[in-house]
Amino acid sequence: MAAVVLAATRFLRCSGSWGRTRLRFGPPAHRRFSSGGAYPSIPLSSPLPGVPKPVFATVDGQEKFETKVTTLDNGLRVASQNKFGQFCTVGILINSGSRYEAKYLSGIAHFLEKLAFSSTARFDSKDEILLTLEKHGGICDCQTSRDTTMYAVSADSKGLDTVVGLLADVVLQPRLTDEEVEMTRMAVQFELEDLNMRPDPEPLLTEMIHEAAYRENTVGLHRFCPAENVAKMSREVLHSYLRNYYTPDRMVLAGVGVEHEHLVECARKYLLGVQPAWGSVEAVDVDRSVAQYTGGIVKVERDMSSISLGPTPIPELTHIMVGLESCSFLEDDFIPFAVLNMMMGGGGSFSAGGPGKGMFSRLYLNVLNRHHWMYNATSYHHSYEDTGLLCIHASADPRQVREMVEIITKEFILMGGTVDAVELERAKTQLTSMLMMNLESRPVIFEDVGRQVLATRSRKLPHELCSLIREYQGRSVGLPQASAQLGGRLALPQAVVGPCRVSHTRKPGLCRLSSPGVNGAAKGRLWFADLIALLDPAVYLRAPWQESPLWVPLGGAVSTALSC
Amino acid sequence: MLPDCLSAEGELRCRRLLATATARLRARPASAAVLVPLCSVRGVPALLYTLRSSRLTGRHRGDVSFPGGKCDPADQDVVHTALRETQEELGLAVPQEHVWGLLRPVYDPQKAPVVPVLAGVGPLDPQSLRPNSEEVDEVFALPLAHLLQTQNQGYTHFCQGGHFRYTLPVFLHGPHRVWGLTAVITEFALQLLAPGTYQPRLAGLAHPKEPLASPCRASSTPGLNKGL
Repeated sequence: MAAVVLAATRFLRCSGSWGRTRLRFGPPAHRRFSSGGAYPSIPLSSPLPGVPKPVFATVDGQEKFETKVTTLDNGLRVASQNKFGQFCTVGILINSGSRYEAKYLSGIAHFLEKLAFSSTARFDSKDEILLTLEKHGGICDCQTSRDTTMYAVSADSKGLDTVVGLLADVVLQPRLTDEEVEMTRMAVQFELEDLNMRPDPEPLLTEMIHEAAYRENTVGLHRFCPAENVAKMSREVLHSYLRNYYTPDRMVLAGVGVEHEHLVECARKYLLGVQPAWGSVEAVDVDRSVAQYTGGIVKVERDMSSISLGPTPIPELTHIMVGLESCSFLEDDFIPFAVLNMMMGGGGSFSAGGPGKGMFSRLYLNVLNRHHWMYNATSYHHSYEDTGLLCIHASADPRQVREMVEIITKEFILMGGTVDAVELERAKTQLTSMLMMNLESRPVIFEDVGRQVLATRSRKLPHELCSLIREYQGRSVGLPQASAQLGGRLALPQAVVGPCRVSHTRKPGLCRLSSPGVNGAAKGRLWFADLIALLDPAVYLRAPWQESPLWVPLGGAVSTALSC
Repeated sequence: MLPDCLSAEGELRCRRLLATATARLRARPASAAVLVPLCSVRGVPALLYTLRSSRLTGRHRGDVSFPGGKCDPADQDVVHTALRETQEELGLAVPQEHVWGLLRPVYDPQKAPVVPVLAGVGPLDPQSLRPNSEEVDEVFALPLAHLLQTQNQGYTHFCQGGHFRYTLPVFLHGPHRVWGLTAVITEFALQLLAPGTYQPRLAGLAHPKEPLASPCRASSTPGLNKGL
């Protein structure tokens, strides 16, 4: 810093002709207009000649364009939402994911996600695809979730024809060569290792809570390929799945920033009457299972002492996630649950906070602000077409798991109690604001259009959703249907990750918490109270060492006398 | 179309179909029994369900089920258990003569057999029943016509150990979802009462595929415990 100042002063003090030339850096910027060349003295108030007229966006708070949906003859739906801008996002969404893998090898969706945009009938390799897209300034990506697979491309609007052709090729005619499958095997293995090594257990916990809540069916099936299936994947296995699930009636071609007629024309050209790579046979066995919420508990014990990526040790934590069934996004109760999720809010205890960060949400006010030893308390809401899951993730030191679970259970119970009007308004405003802010981004609009049309064949525009949120009043006894429904199935599904052991005694009175203290193994293994007894209110009730009774009915009317 | 199962001929037909199984199963001890009450709500044939109280202990609290419970040593046979439990839970007294027969037993996850007892309880208003609030939260009836509509029927494939194992039926769009063993028993009842109309969904439980005409014949007992 001092050296620069010294050098600057030396330059400034320099006198003489060579000092002057030293101060001019960079290529000589030579503007014709401003140095009196071809266009003498054009005032700033008039436009420059020979320059194209700029087109400005206007914003007046109304949706300029509406979402248009057309269904082609083969059942494929084409949906588009026009938008101001030079770029567009186009993609194909398919009703396919890990929830349909009951009769197939688990992990096919994960493999297909990694194999996307690889070589196809027309394009010899991934590089060729990327080069083609580069001509239109485009990027591509594939994302799979439990029930939807999305192949998306963002590119210049002028390249729409090429883009749709490319998408059609990628989705319907992938080559799935042996080397690609081999490379994908490695990629999947790396991803699995990475998942297990991360300090942030969020994806693992999500997987576990689904496994616990929907035991062995649909949404509870593995989202990531289990290690034993990685070697068994092959082109035949993938084709057997694709034959049944990549059919036109399960697909939507969605576009944002495109003209509807143009998109439909491209769709007709590239997606109608095309023979897919796996041979077009009538889909034989499509799984239409209804997701069945069973409740349950999944525990993983793991040594988390050495997950830090750098020299600073990350504290060894036990993570739990407790959840209850909510509702699907097609039901009317979806908005109340979204508001409830916002109201619970939460986050990490090391958050910097600030306006809009949810510092006044319940998990911050009641949990993180009062219990300094909690590292994290966040609420999540997963919603599918026939079911939903509202869960709270919490983490703390292994010696405090019992209190942590009690606190989280108490929060669930309080959800069924009264809700302050101010709190409700705040949650509704936050939800609206988050919705509108997210929908400013074109890829998010694309996903919204695609998912809604895939599920319901039409799209609720943002202002409709905002008015639905605004109208929701929440009766004076809190969020009624939401919390009453939450109490429906009383076995709390739960996923636990961290150094902990459960004593499998279910006898009441053995809810004993004993920590081993310091002895040799400094990994902090812990015996803690029978978690099932803890969460099973009736059994907990009978623990004889309790001073005051604990009555915790989670359904309907709530009256709690909790002694924590 | 739904045959008139509440008529005298319908009842006779069902009784005849269930006769052999009833004779065989009645003598055999079982751990639990439920009553499948076929009633007539405002002239419409329906099945009566209960919503178990959330205050109960055990894994089935809060679930939809038929009235019933564990067999007492004092009970003479499974029919007696079912009728006694119905009386206790719902305050509904069903005389022995109204019992049409026994359906195929189902096995709960502890592998204990639960025997469904089909009885015709006649005209009934679910609102008039006074259920025991400690055991039963709610009583409701689902018309057979509702259960036989395909949009109200569903199924769920279940896996075990990474492989597909079995399929269970589920009945939707009623006041509560009917799933699990209750749905399986409902399926048996529908197969008996509306053989041509109802498409069974239960699969993979290692029982021989029976012709729809007599779903309660013979060899069902050993088969159902696999995979549940």
